[in-house]
Amino acid sequence: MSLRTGSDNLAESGNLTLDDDLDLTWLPKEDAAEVIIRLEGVSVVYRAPSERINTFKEYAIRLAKRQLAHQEFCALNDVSLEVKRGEVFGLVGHNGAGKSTLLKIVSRVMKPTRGRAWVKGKIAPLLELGAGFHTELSGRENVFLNGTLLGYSRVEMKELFDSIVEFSELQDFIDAPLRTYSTGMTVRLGFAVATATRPDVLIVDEVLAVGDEQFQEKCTERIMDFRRKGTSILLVTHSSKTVERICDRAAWLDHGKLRAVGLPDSIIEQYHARYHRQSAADKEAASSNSRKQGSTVSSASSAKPAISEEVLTLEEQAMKKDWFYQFELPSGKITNSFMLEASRRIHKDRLAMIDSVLDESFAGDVSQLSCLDIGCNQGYFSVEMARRGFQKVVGFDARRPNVEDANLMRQIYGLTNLRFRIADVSKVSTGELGQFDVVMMLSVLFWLENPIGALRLMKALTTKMLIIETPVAPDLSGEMEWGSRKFRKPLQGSFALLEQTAESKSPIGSLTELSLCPGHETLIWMLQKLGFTNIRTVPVPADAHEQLASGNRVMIVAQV
Amino acid sequence: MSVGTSKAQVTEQHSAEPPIYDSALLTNPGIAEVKELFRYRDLLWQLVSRNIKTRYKRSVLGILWTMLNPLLMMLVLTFVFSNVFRFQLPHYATYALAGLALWNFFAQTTAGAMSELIWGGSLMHRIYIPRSIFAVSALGTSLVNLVLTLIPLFIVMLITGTPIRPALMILPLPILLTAMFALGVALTLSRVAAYFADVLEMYQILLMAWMYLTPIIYPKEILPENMRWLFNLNPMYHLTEIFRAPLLIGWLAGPKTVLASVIAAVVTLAFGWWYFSRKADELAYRI
Repeated sequence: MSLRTGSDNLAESGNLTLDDDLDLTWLPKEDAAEVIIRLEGVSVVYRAPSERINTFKEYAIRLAKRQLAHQEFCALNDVSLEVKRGEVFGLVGHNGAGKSTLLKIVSRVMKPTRGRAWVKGKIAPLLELGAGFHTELSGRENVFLNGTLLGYSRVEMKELFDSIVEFSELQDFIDAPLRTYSTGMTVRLGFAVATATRPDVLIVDEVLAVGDEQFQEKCTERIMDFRRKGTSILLVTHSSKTVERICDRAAWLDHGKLRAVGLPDSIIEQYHARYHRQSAADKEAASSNSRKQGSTVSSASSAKPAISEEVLTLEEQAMKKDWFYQFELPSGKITNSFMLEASRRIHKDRLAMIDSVLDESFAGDVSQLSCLDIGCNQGYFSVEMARRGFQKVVGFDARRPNVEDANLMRQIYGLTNLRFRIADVSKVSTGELGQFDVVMMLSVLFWLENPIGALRLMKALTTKMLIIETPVAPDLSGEMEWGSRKFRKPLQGSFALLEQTAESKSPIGSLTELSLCPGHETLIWMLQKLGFTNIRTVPVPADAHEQLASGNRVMIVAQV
Repeated sequence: MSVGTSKAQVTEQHSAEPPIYDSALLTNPGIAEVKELFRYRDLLWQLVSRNIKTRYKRSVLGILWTMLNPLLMMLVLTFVFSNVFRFQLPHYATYALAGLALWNFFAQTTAGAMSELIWGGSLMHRIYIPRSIFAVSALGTSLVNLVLTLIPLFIVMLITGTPIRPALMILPLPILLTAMFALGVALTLSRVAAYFADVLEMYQILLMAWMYLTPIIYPKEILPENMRWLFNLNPMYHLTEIFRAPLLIGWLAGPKTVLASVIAAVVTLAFGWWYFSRKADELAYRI
């Protein structure tokens, strides 16, 4: 909603002309993503004795002495937010900030004192697995007990029973009493029951530690699978890293109030900024500091209204920086670039080549497709893909400053179908990312120590099309002796071994000391070997940058 | 469901309509609680069967204990009361066993409801379960136990020569009324127990006193005639009377006793249900 208001405001204020340079029709419609959870001005007020009274005796004595003072405690204060289908939504805040209360409201454990909570679909909690198990009962009996506690009927549980046991891998122990189970086994059974069917909302309180690493992976895979199929995940965690890594959006709660909602990175940043400032203020206990603190809080909480102003101030921030790319901002301004004048146009060429591929393969309609931009740097291509109307675009980069820059651009353009993450392509696993229709790896491959491993990862990530762009090494051909003069193996190409110096390890470069860069034919041969089909080199535009024109740098498209 | 008519929902018609939870649509908590309880009836069954199973899982005699326990108690009482106090009460064994069976039913339901609610506390923090389910499952468990004690009761009646009459067919009525009364008390106590940890202990003491103040193991004639009206203030006295009447007299108890029992049952249950469900949500953060 804020998005639409934003673009309207921009258009009206005259800062923006809707010419073909900036086509806004790609903007997602307001109800494109279905709302699954809606909280409208939710407040929760507890009335509790000022001092904790645990026994009736004490209560009676105080009552008689008229020493009973009650006070109202506001666990949630006028919180409004929406969670959409398939979204991973993180909640951050201190202990007692109201995160658990919010979860209770959503899982209908509690009713709001004021306001309204609306949830569509089945809610499954994934908290302290195995609560509700009884040690004297067998695994089988506990599955039925736990299942009905979660709201399944007996008939449903009978149908689900086999798959639950299979997932928990406890076939041989299912009729043994639970007291003979190890903790890991109990937790496995608990997880299997809790996730027996795909819920619409999965509530995860703190990150799961489910038995051994192998089973943990299986659980993560199941959750990711739910998510791909449209389950929204509500996650409470103290780990900022987890929020940044897996959440699509996050909310920051502070003393029951909603301070901010938005991209994980920016929420975490605001949360930390506030936290550190506060602890500093606590230490010094100086009044000047607390005044300063007060002003920061108000600026954080008033971040919502007047989007156009916000965008303009964001643009100001952007204009102050030196960028790798030249971004054309919505106001028409173009960011400064530290790149050499002559090299700058290469981005336009690459973009034109990608466009030609998308036009050819999808007739330009990418509205149903997802796109992953690996090593996205400052997000130039991610932003462009998001603007072309991909249903979802994810960009990741190993360097935090790059991801922060990319997020700034995302906010400036108001893109809701785009998000950025911090991740290293040489360390990331498929389960964490899910799969994407279109995967782009632009100017990344030749920085890597293990390009073959990276291509294998690409195969696992891609469901339709892979676009690779990279400089290429000279190809070798011929054959080599293989252990004996008699045996010879044909060469399938070559890799150039390169040393990465401090200079080339700049913000755009490698993370490793060494890198291997394949030749053009080598790359094509490897892709074939890995099972890609229809592999072709994208034709270069007539007046393209010298690197592309000379063929020392190629863009290759492969299908799965 | 008026809110559910968004565009998104229309497009989803092919799949089964997902359930919608809207806090604004919740009206009467008492009625909502009944509906939810019905929806979770399979859980009720699971909880009752868990209680029965776990109680006897690791004992040699198993379920026989349910029958032996009151039987042995009855034997001791019969010996003590017939030989030491020398009551002139016909069919004392049946009288005492029937009284004990019904009292145990009441005591187990009310005390069980509290301990079950405390057991369920950790769950109620996290997932929605109709909170009254713990009181109702305690009732269900005690009901199973009561039915099981009826077996030794009938055996004792046969042995001691208490006539077995068709009036036994109306036994479900006094059991139903006692169940209603017990559930009402259980719900009321559950809510209080959620706030104070010592309620269960205090109640155990109260329960013992209450039992000795009710003519269960002794005849009401133990009190002088001018003080017997005091028994009328005790609902459990009326309920015990209407339970014993079909067994010992072979017909319903007097109309006053029946009326008092019905009123006690209906009023207590209605109050308990209202009192409990009104603040049922608070239990989620009190326990």
